[in-house]
Amino acid sequence: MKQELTPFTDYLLKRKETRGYLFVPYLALGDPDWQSSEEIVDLLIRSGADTIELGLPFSDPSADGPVLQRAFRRSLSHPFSRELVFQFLEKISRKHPDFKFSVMAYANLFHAAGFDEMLKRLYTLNVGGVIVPDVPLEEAPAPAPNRPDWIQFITPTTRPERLKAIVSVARGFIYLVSLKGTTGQSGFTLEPLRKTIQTIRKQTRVPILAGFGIRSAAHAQEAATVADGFIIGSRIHEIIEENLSNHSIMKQQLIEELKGILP
Amino acid sequence: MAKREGYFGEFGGRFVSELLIPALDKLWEQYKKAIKDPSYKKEYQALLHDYAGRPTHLYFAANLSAIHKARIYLKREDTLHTGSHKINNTLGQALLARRMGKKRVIAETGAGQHGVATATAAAVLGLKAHVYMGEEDLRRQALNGFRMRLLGSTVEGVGGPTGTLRDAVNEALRDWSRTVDDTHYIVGSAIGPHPFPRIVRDFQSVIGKEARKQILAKEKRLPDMVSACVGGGSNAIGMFSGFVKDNVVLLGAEAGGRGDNPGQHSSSLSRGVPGILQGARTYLLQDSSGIVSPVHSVSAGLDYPGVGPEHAYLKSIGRAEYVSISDEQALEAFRVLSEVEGIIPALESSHAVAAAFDWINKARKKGLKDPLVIINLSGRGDKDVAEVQRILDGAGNEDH
Repeated sequence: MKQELTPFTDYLLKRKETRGYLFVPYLALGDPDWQSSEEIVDLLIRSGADTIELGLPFSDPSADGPVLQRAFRRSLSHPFSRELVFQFLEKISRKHPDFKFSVMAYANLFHAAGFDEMLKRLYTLNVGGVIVPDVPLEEAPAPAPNRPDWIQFITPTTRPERLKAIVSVARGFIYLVSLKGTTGQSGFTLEPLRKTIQTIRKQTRVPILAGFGIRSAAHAQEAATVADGFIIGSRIHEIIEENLSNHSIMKQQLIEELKGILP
Repeated sequence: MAKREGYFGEFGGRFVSELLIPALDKLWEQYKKAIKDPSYKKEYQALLHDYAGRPTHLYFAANLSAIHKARIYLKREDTLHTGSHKINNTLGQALLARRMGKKRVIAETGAGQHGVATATAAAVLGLKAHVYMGEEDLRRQALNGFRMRLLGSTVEGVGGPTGTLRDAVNEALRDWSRTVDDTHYIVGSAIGPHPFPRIVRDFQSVIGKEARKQILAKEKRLPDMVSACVGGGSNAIGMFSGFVKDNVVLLGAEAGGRGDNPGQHSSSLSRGVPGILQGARTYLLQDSSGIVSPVHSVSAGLDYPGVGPEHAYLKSIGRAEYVSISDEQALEAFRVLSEVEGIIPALESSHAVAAAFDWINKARKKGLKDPLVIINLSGRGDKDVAEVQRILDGAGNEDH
């Protein structure tokens, strides 16, 4: 089947060629502060990130486990606004003009800005994809030119008919939720999802990124082999949390941890 | 506008993780089947009648009526088993859960009334129950926490020292996304993703149906106004649904707390703007970037930054009025009802009482003679006695 690929999908597929998989770190913005976020973004790009899922803090992150809930709480312990997010994105997109970012936010942050207004603005700031965990297929805005790709989710509960519908509108990448639950949960394996992945592959070239619970080299290896890559979030924020008193050790630890995890 | 399934006008929808969509689909399907199934209906009706104590009385409050120069009736949901209207919904949903083959139910609770009603329904129907309750609410309503444990449920405090109803909902949603195969989430108010607002309303609509029949029998006419308190808004939507097609004022009383500033109240409809929280598009208290505000109310059951989407709709089309009642007004209504009628109301319901007093006063000034009103007394105040004593003793309102 011939399929029209979006520029962001194209970007990811090209990046995948270099190492054979995609690595997407997740970073809750402002944890523990904006300056650190900027430094961590630089560090993640140097460590080989293909895109970074930048999480906008929210008061009620109902799809996140304890680690990322605490990360958002730290982010929101100092002033936060949409304008600060845009300023931050302007800064890092100027610094990394060829790099495509992704933005994760709960639906209300998009709603407060106006979904389309927010999408238009993000597109101008090198954002290739947006990830909104509390917007399922039916509630997603229709795709439009000059907007970031709306990332779709496939989960262990997604049934075949629905999977087909989701994959048919998938752009950018497909976020494969590895397990029933929230971010940072233990027990990662893609074994039960092998068939799902095969089904997706038959229908699309859009890359499949596994997320939820990836925290070791073995997990990353499995996701790099079985899927097209992986998203790591909770592990990163654990390291941030463990090193709040010393930011240079924090950064060093992050670099070493990622070196240890990446296949 | 085309009618979209799961929406009330532009409000409602299913704003949850893709993980939960199949469970919501199945729930909706099973619910539609169940309410057409005579054996389900019979079992539910029998439980409501013999176990919960329906129908509840519509009581003519003669002393209050004399004071306010009105004809005031109280719909006595406070006399139900477990002390509030919540049992109407939990029995219905627990029966549904059993029908769907679920072995475990979870619930969020604010004041603890829904937690107790869930624990009760689970006990009588042989299900395991786990209840999430904000830690601040557990402090205010410690006895309800213990009550749930007595009924065989487990209770978990969430959200840290400021934890309230919204934290409990978030935690219940997280639990459900892990356990969705064998667990049903008994949402306690008319909130959350479709089909919950619809199901909860239907189970609570018995309040309005009974009240309408009863007032017609007693007064040979419809009331001028019905009032109910609104946190998530389940007792209110249940009462309103009986009168929404009539020429009757629908008055919702929100928690005005200690003042107008963010964090001091939980008047989502009176002072919020539309947004998306915990599964639905509805009115929310939030800042301009979309961060949901902290909220306060003297009553743990109204302490919620959102509101059921059907209320958002009724407000948007001008069909219902929503007013903000301060902690002080609610406490005064609590005192008056106790002293004058010998009925100690829940602090939540006290808001509906205070709102009715205000409305009667204004209506009389506009020339309405002997206004005929029904106040929904959604729950009894036993649970609040210790907290009210603490406040009246001056331990005050300042530390939460």
